[in-house]
Order: sequence, then structure tokens, then C-alpha cells
Amino acid sequence: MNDGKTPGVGEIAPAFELPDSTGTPRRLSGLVAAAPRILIFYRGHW
Amino acid sequence: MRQLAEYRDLSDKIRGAGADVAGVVVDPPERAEAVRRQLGLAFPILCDTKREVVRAWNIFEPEQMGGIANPAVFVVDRERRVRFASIDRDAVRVPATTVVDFIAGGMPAENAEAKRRFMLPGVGDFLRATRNVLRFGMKAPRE
Repeated sequence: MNDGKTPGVGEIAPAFELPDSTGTPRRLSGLVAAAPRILIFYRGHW
Repeated sequence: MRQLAEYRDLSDKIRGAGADVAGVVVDPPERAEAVRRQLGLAFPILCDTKREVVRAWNIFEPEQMGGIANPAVFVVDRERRVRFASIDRDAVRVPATTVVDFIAGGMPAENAEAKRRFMLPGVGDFLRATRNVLRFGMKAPRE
């Protein structure tokens, strides 16, 4: 189940760390450190 | 997947606007990497295989296909603040050009949510959906 709340405009996005497709850990804070980041959540494989 | 290719094709404009891109998917890294190579994406794809982030961000759909992410696009600024958010339904997604123009335009708060008109399926989407049903049946095709 969803246990969180979708961050709305103006709110601080919840921090996370996920591996990228090459296995490198990526933190949201690092992803946006240099520039704003467009995050695209897509469905992937069905 | 088409959505990822749209952002790939806009990469010059995105860089010019001073922004970066990342995809997020619940797929395992091998599959995400295959997609990244196949589409020739320069941006990273993050793999939320445990569904932790999509749950925390409340865009998880546990009923579908073993649990997948609802399509959604966010722009997060350097302070980790959400500047744009669009929770998209299957048939209609916020156009990549809308997101990039938003950033290029200085991220004005009044344009921070996808306008309702992007959410309403137009005639083109209806025709495409109808054609897909005819081709693939009621089960949605892969992206």
C-alpha cells in the first residue's frame, strides 16, 4: 500500500537513495545539487 | 517509453534551460539499463525495485501488474523543493515540451501544475486508444 503522500508544489520532496540502472547509488539531494531535475516516473515493463 | 524518448529528444533544450533529467521505474536494473541503451538515454534511470519511493510518494499502484508506478513527472529544484508536479493517467501524460518550457520560463508558480486540459483525452488520444484496443484487445500494450 501507499504509505506516504505525494509531495505537492512548494513542498520539500522526501529524500531517497536508489541505485541507478548501472548499480550506482543515487541520492535525490545529489541529483538536484547542480541543477533542477525532471523526475519521470514511468511504468516500465508490464 | 515514448515519454523517455521525448525527453531524450529535448536534451539540448533541457540543458539550455539549466536542468537535468532522471527516470524512475520499479523494474530491476538490468531491464532499466536495457531500455536506457535501446533508447540511447544520456540521463540515469533509478530503480525502485522495492517500491519504497513510489510508496513514499503515493504513486504506487499495487493492483496492477504486481505493483507499478503511476506515471508522474516532477521538477525538483536544488533545495529539493517540488516546483512542478503532474500525476498522469495512462492515456494522457503531460507533454515533455510543457515541462521543459516551464523550466525555461523560470518555473513560474502559476504553471506549476499540469493544466486540466492535458488530463482530458483529446480526439487523438481517443482514436489511438481505440486503435490499440482493436490491435491488442483490452489489455493495454507495452509502452
